[in-house]
Amino acid sequence: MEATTIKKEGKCLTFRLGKEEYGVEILKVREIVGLMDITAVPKTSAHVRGVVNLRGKIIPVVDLRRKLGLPETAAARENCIIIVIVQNRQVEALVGLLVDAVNEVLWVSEGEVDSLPDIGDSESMDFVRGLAKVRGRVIILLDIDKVVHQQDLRGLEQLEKLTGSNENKEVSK
Amino acid sequence: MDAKDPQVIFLELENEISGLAARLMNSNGKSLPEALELSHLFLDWTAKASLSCGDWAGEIQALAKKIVVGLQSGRSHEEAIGRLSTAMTEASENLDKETLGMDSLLRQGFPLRQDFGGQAPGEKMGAGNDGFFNIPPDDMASFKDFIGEAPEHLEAIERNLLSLSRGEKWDLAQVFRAFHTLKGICGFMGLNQMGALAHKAEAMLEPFKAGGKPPEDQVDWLLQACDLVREQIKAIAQGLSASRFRIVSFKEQTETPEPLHPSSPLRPADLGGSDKSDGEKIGTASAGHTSREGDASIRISVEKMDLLLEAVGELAICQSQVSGGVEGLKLTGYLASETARLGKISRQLQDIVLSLRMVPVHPLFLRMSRLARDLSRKTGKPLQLDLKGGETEIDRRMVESLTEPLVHLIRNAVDHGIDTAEERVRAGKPAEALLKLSARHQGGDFVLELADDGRGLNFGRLAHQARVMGLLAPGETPDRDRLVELIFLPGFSTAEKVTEVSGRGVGLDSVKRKIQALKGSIKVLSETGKGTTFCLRIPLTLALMDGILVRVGLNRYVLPAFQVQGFLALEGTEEHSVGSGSKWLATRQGHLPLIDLERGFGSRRDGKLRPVVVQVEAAGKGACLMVDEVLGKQQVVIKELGEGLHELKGVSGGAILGDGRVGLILDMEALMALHSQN
Repeated sequence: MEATTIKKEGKCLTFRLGKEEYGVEILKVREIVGLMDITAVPKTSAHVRGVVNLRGKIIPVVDLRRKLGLPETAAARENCIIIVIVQNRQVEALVGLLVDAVNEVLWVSEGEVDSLPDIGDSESMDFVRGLAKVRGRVIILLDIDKVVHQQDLRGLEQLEKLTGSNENKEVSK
Repeated sequence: MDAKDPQVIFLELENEISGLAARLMNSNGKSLPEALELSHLFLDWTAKASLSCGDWAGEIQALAKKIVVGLQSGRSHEEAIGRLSTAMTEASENLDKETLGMDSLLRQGFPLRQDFGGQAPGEKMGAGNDGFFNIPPDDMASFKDFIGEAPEHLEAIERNLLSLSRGEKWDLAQVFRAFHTLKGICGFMGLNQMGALAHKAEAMLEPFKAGGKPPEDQVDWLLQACDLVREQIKAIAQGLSASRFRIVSFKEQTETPEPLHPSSPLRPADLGGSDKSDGEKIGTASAGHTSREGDASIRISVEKMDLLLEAVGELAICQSQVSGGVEGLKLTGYLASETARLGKISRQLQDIVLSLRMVPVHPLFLRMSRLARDLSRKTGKPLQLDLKGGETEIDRRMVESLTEPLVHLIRNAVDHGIDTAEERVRAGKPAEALLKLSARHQGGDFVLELADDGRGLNFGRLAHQARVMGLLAPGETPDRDRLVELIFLPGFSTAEKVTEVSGRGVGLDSVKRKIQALKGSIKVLSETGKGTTFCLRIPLTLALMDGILVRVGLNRYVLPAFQVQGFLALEGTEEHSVGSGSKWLATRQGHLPLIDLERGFGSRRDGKLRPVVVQVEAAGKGACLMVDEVLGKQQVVIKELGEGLHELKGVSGGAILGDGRVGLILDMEALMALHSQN
């Protein structure tokens, strides 16, 4: 399921983070919702902003600014949460991505995509599928399954403590 | 189910069968392949018939399968075909004479069964040599149906046999029908051993059609037969995904000589009593009653039910948001009354959806009365189990979780609680002990009570035991409640097995844990010499929870209401701490750890208002939680937090609050554990 589904060509939803434009495969996008109240969840990674209520379903929201190491900005009216479908061990789950603003849906053809130039920091950049040059703009294409990694959502602290007693797990279910 | 008139189906069947019988007869003496082909044709046709008209067609199909197998097994086919065709001709002649001639046809069929069934060539159809049965791909659906519906038949059998054994009214026809249906399906699917067992059961019951009742050892045999069938069903269910399952050995059961009735091992059963409405196999979700006409129900997957519940939950939230008023817009007049109506409807809808998940506890009770009967016979203590409130409904998921604790409690009651007949007579009690199991709804909870009229707890012994184990200070004289609590301590009883109270502790700690996992509580009332009552109290559903809503700074959290003991105003003098580390609070219940969500949880308190302390209890331990404000009590739908956030410590889930935001449900037990680690 992994690498084969990532086609170079296809429709992309583009959005803005800071001054850069990013794109995600449109098939991975479930919907776009405006910024809503996010409930912070303790003991998670810093880039997990919390959880929101998407019509009765609780889903986690990842702050892409924090994830990509961009500075925080004040909330703006055009801020959006893009609800994406991520695949984790054949299980599909919904995750929200907090972005500055959503731009448009674009067709990106194969010839327009370049792979990321090797700048020696390939490990932390493995969620970038490539760079697309469309009509004079550069769009950074993200591999959403890699951006939102399951282990990533739980804090490191959490992982350390997983060795604790199992009794609590039973109760929490 | 096809709404075709049975008469029409019979007529069609008649034509087909006489046609096939004639062809088969003509093929007598000809080559085997042709006979085989014809039999296959017959098989196909009956398969179609069974789809539209239920189990009697299944019977015919079983017969057809036997014919095929008989032919395949290759021994004296000529003779077999000869016998077959005679039977068929007779059958079709009978069909001509009687409109409802199926019974006669089946009666003709049984001698054939006898010929082939005895040597079990049928097992070759799916059974390998390794004791496994390979499910043919085409039969997958029938096997699925079988494991779905067979338990209902078993339940009907057990219910009646148990009434019989209690000396109450029983419905022989129902038992007979259930065995008969099982036999039909088993034959159809090639589960010959099981079919033979059901057949034997039928034969055993046959003499009682005229009246009278089978002796206890036969009832035992029949109940054990049910167990075997149940075991096989379990094996099938487990193996379904792999298309093969283990064949449970029925050897002992099928070989046990029939007590009192050696003359009828494979005697053709009279099917005259078979009720045609039995073909109505739309399963009841409740499984509490056999399906009758007019009592129509359908099976729904749990997944769909959950989706429905979710959607209705959303509706309720959306509704409360609307009726809460749009910002700056007050609802008045028509709009206000209509929103109120909407609210009413959505609440009603929510109630209905929740009730869909509910099933009566009756099947659970039935298992318990079975257990009590077995235990009574095993221990030699005569006892009567009195069941009350079997129609009380609980969340279907809870039935499973309740089984084990209840089994423990009943074992305990029979093994240790109930005195022997001699002891009872000496104590002036009737020799037969009375065990009362009752269920009821009480204030949003499900209450299950098990009362025995046995010895009761020996409080003196309990206290002694506690002292021996160092659980009590030497001079301490504990009250009864305190002593009763002791029996739930793990390992409490293991010290001295000889005392009569000691056994009481076996498994009780696990009972308590299980009940707590269901967010319930357990209470014990006992009077020495008169008996003990265990009272389990559990919320009706696991999907909903009564929560206490609290605010810490900007965050709102939901505390499970059953864990909240009370609220205190924080007075500075009562707080103690070790250095800058953990804090304790002096309360009437002793010193309790003070959990501040500011630490580690990152929820900053206001600091302006005086904080409120919520006293909580989880897993038998108390703690205090410091919050800014207690917002109120609210019933919430428990939800998972979503991908990657399942195993967070201290948070057991989320709930959508009235304003549409998510509130985290605190897991007090984990919070306490975290607190003591720091």
